[in-house]
Amino acid sequence: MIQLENHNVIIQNVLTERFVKPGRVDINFVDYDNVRFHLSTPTSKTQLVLSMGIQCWRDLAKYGVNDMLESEYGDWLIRDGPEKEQEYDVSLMIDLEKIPEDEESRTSLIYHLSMLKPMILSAPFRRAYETHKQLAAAHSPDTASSEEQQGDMMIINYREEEAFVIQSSWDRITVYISTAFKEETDRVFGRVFLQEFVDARRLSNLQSAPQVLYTTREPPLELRNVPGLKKSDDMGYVTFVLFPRHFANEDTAKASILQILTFRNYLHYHLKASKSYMHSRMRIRVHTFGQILNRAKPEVQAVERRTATGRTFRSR
Amino acid sequence: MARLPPLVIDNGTGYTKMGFAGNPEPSFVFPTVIATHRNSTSGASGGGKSTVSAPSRSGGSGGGGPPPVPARPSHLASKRGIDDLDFFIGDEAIANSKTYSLHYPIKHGMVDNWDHMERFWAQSIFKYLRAEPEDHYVLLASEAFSEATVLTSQSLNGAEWTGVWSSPGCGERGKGKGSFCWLIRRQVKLSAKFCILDFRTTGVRHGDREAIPIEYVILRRSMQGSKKTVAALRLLSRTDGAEVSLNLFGQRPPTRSIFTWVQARTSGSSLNHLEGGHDLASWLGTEPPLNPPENRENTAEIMFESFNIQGFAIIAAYCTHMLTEKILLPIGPFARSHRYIAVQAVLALAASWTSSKVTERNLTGVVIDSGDGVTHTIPVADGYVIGSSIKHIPIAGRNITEFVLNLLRDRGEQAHIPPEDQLRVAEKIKEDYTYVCQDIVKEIRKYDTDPYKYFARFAGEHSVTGRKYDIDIGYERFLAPEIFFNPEIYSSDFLTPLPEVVDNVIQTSPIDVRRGLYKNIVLSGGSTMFKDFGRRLQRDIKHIVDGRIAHSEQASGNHMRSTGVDVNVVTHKRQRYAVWYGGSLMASTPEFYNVAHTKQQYEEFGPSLVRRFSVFGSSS
Repeated sequence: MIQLENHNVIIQNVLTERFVKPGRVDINFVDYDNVRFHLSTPTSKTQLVLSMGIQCWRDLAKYGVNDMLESEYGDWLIRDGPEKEQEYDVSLMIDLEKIPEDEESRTSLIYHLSMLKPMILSAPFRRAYETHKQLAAAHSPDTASSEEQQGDMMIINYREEEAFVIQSSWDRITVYISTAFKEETDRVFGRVFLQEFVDARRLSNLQSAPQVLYTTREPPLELRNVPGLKKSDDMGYVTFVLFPRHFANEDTAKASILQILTFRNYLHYHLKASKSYMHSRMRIRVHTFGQILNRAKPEVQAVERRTATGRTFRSR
Repeated sequence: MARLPPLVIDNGTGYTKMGFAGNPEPSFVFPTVIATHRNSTSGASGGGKSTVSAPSRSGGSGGGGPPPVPARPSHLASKRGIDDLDFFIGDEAIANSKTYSLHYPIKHGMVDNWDHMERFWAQSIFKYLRAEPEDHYVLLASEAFSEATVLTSQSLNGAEWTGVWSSPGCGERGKGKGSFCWLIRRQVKLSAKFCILDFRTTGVRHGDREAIPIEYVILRRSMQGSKKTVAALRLLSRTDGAEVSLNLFGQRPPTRSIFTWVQARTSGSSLNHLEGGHDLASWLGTEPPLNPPENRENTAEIMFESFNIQGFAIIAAYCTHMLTEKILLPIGPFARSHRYIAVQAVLALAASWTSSKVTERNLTGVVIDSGDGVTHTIPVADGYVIGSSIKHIPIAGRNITEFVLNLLRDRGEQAHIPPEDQLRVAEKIKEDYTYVCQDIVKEIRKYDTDPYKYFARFAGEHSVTGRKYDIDIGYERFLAPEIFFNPEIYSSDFLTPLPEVVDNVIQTSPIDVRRGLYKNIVLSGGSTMFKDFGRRLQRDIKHIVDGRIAHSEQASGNHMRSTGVDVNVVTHKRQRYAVWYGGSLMASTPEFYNVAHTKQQYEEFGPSLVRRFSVFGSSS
């Protein structure tokens, strides 16, 4: 598993099961980035309610997540009211009596629903695309001052102490991701890993990838004035610069969003995987050292001892 | 922000159950198996197949052998392959078994390969649970990681102890009486003639296989002034799980020569120099030390170092905590050596409260926990585990599957099944078609007179070629679970039927709790899920008990009348994943955070932390 998947496996599994055979369900589970889910059947077996709570809901609400939900999940969305679960930010109601019959559209519906979290988080990116379009249209080479041609900084505190910031301008969209490393080891691994990212881009076959910059401790200059960013040794900042070709058509745009959204978890997953790899190397090494030490053991000389009567002790 | 629910993971020998605390059922149940790339042991080579899960990677860059020297200034990705990431777990592993090789990281309740285990966990957490481990606590509810060195008394009877072998030889020097001895003495009343000299572990090489760890107890017996040493041996071969038991009197401490003895035992050579021993009513044995503390240390290391989890607990006796207010901290030093089992049992008891049959919520009962690898029978009185009466039965799910396969082979049905699918088919038959009959003879007659009515048809499909095949399922439908009740049809080593074991367990428990134990026999684990299993068990135990009562009434000359003993086997909804469920309950309480080991503590104490038990912090 090199890359993390985007969809939530539990939603997918449970829905696949329930679509075939409705039944009671009441489970709590989580997803990356402090997302909590609750899937239940509060009223009847055929009415599944999927609720999701996300830490940065307030940020997202500023950047048009509600519109996005209307357009993508409008059919299932529970608008504000007593039915909506209070501790959660979004609730969807899936009525099993109204789902499509054929296998294929069911599968795609399930997949769509299991993509709820990345969809919600992608709202500010969509907003950024819009802003970029407007700016690009308004752009003329004569007005050189850059400030007019930049969109707002959209700050999404998607985890405690960690945020991503999106800024669009007329020729590009810049995404800054801050991440915290809780451990010294992680920080070192993280630095090597991210340096690899920067280096790998120099390869000829990766030229079309977005530009990646990496800094530790000090946030990039553009972010200096952003409130609420923690400055400490544990922080790392990754900057992706998306050029128009990365969001030229719908599919690539979607793909770039998803890649960037999973980036933080991808990074941390790989740090952990690298540590696992190191551990397995260490185990092998310890084992070989052990073998060497065993070879160095002096052999016990078998001396035949006899008693006075000439009988022998034999150890078997 | 609200705390995210802890992860509850139960890695069993056969199946892994995992999910989030607070849920009634695990979110994922799949085989504990990992499929790694064929020729990658240390992650050295690449190869074309490795792109299966890596759409972003352009072809296997590594190839076999040493990686090519990059023309440009180096970056690490070109230097080494990423084969260490190229693996699958669970059902996906099985699905990919044609191009990958399968490994089972846990064998017989022991972690066999820590590399695989670590990667298994990595994928469980990141791919399936999708949880950032840094944000979560983890509760591992599994025998493979918790500690239990259970000392039990064993009766010295036919099948379990073949003989006592005596030969005059050199004596064993008196070795120190360590803490283990203390434990033994606490728990088992030894015949006065014996005292314990030593308790230790050693290993011998068995042919060219791995060393067999052996647990043994050395006893000293005083005979008319002259001191002679006796050694009691119980060999536990961890390589194949077979258990060879042997008592050796007057032999040297069995270090090198064990192999010869094992050979002697297994080749059935004369072990007939019987001497002494028979008068021992009870005998010491050690249960398989499933979980040496090193295992837990390894686990803690992986969890904290690799995954940076917030906190961590291996399911332990303190779980009982949350079950009732009554039993806060009741578990003295005695139960401490039974931590894992205590919990499993007590949790299973608590899980049985969901059954409508259970009217009062008490913590007295016998728990029969049968999974894939081993079956435990554990008596619990008021939340205390009666450790000296615990019995383990070497018959469990895996054996049933094997037996189904044997039966199919005997009837020639096996020929229709492609060899690579046989185990899977047998498992399927076991799960979907079997039931427990009430009378085996009648049942066979029924099948013989009207096979068309009772034989079931199983339609399978060859997993590679897609060729369809049909097989008949006959007697195995009721014979498979029958090995619990008539083990002689399956094994020649273990011959005590389950009802008898349960009865024994209860009879060796203190007399004042026996009535309560009979009244509440609770089933837990997947291998107790057979239809009518509980009914049959209840009937058989009842039969034994009634027989005994009748006998004693007769012996009293019919002067005494018994009011009868109530035997009740409880089946309940949470039976199948009882242990996971208990863990889920436990981890959803606020107390869990008090007893779990945190990252800070880990950094303070290191892996040895898990040898301490925070709940007993003051006493240990």
